[in-house]
Amino acid sequence: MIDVEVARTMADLMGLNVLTLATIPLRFQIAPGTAASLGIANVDFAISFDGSEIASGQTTADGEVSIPLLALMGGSPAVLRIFDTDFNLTLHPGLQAVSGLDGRQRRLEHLGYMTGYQLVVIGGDQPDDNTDGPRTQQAIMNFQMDESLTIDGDIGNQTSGKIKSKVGGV
Amino acid sequence: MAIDLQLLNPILTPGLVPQRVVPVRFARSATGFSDVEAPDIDDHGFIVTAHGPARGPVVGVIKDKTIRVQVIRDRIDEATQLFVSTDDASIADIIFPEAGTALSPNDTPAASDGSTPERKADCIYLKGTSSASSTAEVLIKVHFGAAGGPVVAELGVRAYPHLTIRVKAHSVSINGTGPTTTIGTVRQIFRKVSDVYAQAGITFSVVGGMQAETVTGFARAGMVSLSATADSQNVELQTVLNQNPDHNMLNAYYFGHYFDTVDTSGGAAGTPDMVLGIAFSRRQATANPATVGFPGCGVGITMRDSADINEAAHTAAHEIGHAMTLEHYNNGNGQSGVVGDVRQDIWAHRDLMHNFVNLVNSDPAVARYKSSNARIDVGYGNYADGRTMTGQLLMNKLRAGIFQSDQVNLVRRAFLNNAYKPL
Repeated sequence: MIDVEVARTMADLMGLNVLTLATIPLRFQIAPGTAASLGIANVDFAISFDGSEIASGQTTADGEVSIPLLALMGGSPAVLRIFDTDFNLTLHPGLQAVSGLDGRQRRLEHLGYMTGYQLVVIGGDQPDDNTDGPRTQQAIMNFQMDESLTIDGDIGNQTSGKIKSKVGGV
Repeated sequence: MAIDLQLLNPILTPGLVPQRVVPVRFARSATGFSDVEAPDIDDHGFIVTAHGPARGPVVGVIKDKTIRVQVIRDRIDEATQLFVSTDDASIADIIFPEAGTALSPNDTPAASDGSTPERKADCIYLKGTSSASSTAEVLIKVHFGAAGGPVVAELGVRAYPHLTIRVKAHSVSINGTGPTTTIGTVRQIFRKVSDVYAQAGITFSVVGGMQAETVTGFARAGMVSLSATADSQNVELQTVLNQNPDHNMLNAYYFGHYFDTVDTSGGAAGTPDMVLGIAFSRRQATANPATVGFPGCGVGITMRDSADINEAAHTAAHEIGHAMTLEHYNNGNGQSGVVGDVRQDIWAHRDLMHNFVNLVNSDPAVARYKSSNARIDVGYGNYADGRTMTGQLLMNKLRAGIFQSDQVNLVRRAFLNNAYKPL
């Protein structure tokens, strides 16, 4: 949550009311996962919506930025500028079941394991990420490694249960 | 260019932990066969507590050698200025980019006067500088915005003291038929083997010419017939390994062919050349001493002729791994030759000790393809006939749950214990 100072519209125009707005926490880290001390602290950021800056500051010790939920509910994306990089932020339609491909990829991305690139150079004709392709398998194995699970690259009951519990939610 | 990022709504999904974004990662900076300048990095998980403080991948380097590692801008703009530092330049120093200079997202061409070499885009060039007699560790850090800016990624570096293994090559004539492999080929092979083992700080040096060996009375001319299930008990194979081994070197025996009489997939009598190489360490030799009619298990590697230099080198590197006590990268039990137990996931395919030196062309739906819905080509190149190569020596990390996970350290320990030298 963040506090936003709003000018009073009645009576004492010099005073301020305080509205508490729901926020979405976003953590920037040097490595995936939920282990402590991975956050990238003290990095300047600014959040804008429809061309106007609505929040700014520095990442916390955990590397966290709080994104006002309201900024994500309009028709156009909110823009987070951090690391001299613009992130177009939108709301995800919602978590699917972890047993499904989208559900597990989304959770692995939520924890930072799912990469935008294939870190291992993959040659030949490989399955894309509409299946458990190389990126997904590598993300699963790194998750299993960090969580001391059996490392097999498969989403079995143990791994899916752990992914679900680490991400939280339904 | 802006990066699209979708966030989950915590009101619709209560109890969510904060979403994580990792802006920068690392990867190998080349494709194809092992390259001493572009080693693969050990990315078996991210948090390393057993060895060193790295919270990311690890790479190995030898003193006075320069390697390059690719920085991946996974969730950060191409134009963002990233700087690199080392925690201790006396262990591994940054050669490029120079201090105070940002990584370049574009290739930097060599100077026309030859004063500076070409530098590849977003690559860190590291030089091993440690003079320590034991392995030293250091962190390489990527900073955002300035040389002293926030750290956005960490790479562990293991600086290994340089070791040299001397190699004695033997040319074995069987019933009057010798191999086609020459000393020139053997030298080519071991130069490539040295590229594979650069990660562990080990170089191979072929000493002298090929020593001619002659054996007779074998079942097939020019061939070693494998008649026992346990190679450590195969009489012809062990007879070869007992031919004048040099007790101060790694002995490499070359002959024409293997003929596997146990594997009848190639015909009732057996299968020729299914096997590329076989090797033994001191431990196996000790466990299989000489008996009546059996010469005893030898120490060293045996190789058949191969017209493909990459196949011959890759096989030699794998077999040397066995001579240095490493076992196949299976599902945690190290069983050798049990096809149904072969791991076929992305890490297994990247491992030098994968059971096969190429991806076996079989139906990926069969049960032995554990953990993978596909045979994943990990970018190490192809043999001359198009087969896809597996495996390099990349495992520096000690991680629970992976059998022999710190192979580099095991190999170095085997060197100190003379595991590859005959008894």
